Amino acid sequence: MTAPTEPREYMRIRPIHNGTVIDHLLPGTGLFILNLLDYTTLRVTPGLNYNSDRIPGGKKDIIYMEGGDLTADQMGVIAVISPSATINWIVDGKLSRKTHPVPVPDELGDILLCSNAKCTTNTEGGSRRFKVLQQPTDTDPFRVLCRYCEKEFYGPLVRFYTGQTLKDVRRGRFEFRR
Amino acid sequence: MVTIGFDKCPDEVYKRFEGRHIISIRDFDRQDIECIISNALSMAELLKKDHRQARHLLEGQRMGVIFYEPSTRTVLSFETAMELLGGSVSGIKDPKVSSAVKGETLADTIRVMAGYFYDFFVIRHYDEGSVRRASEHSRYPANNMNEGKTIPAINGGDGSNQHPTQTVCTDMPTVVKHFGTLDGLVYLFNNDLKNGRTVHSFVEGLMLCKPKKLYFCSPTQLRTPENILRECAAHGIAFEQIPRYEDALPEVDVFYDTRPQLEREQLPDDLKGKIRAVYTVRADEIRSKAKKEMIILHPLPRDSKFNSPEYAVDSLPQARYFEQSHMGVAGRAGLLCLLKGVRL
Repeated sequence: MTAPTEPREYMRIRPIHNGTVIDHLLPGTGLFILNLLDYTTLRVTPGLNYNSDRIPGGKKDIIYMEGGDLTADQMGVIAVISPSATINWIVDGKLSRKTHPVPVPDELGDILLCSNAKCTTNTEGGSRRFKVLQQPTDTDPFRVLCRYCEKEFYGPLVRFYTGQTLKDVRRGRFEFRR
Repeated sequence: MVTIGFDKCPDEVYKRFEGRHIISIRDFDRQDIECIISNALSMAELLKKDHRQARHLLEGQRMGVIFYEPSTRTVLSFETAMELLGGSVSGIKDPKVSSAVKGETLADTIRVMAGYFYDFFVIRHYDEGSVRRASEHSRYPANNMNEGKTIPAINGGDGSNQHPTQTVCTDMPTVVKHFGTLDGLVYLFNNDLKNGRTVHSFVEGLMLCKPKKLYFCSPTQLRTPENILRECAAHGIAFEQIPRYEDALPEVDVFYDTRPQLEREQLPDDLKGKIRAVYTVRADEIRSKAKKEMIILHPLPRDSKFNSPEYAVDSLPQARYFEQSHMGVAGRAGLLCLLKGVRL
């Protein structure tokens, strides 16, 4: 096997022209967050364990998405999984807007799964809605209330639609759904 | 907290109810609760005077009952209320003879029945949140002159989640009838506080009031859910979890007993034995320690295997659980009138 003549050329990430850069993700969460996004038709580049001077431990993950946009649900879970995240919107090759901290909406939808096995959303299916009772802070865990069964879930027990809990994600225990 | 009292309900509050679903106590504010209680008490007076006078109030209206779990009081009181108001009732009272056995979801059942000219649905289902889901599909379809309008769906119990009409049509009107208020009273909830949905609804209703104190008395395994206790604290309501009810008894105004919900959670024999020994409401304790004005409520049925309150309590002046059960007819009749904009 011959080495490429110009290794820097093929390793370089192609710049985003119109799209989103999700930066400063906690290391180990990038692939899971990517999995929650609808990236099937988009050109997406995940970057893992990049150097960071902002995140304790000195490493971060980053996701470059050409095209597409993020829903309020998706932004909400990014903020929950990785409170350090910054979202940069790129328009015509330039930074148009930067958001940090990423807001968690008052209500989240199908991106979460109710952890109550007796909840109608698990037994009969259908759409899901969760009221956000507590935004994640340094002192208070994230808390949500299922609109249907009215059960409350907090912090590490909050479950994503892929089946994993926040605790699983933080420990790196997840699989791709595709 | 804006209150309107329990006399005549103002028009602006009355109008909120027309076509409204009754799913959870969490959907109410204080005025809503007072309005429903005021209607319950007015209806109780009307029925006591001459129940035939109510016969024209909902004449020609149809109620669909969908009960996938056993019920005596809830289904019968709704049916009786509807008949007293001049309406009619039909529906499903045994899921084994409905398409549920073929895998039909409750949401689909409602979509079908919505086209059968019903004006209300009363639903009891074992899945938590099922009635809220069903309510999303409860509207008149194209075959009805009211196309697109809501058909009120009433939660008759969804698993161990909520039983709002037990609270606002039965329990609270009984308290108000005796004390003239819901505020400033000491409430004690006894026995299975984990699975008893009537307790959850009642306590959530009290969060809209100013009770003096709440006592929660249950075995450790059947304690009140943490989120309800947290909400009590957030509302500034004083509460205490106690292992036995006797010591608190002299302070209590409303003693709310329940039964272990064995249909929702199997309990080990030693716990059943402890429940019999410690949590049974005993006549000698009531006689010796309770205030004379205290009222004992129970959503019923009384499980004969646990016999609480014991039968000797029935003859004490504090025993009000049958009266409470009778209030359910007037309370539900009053609610049905509210939902159709019929003023009493």
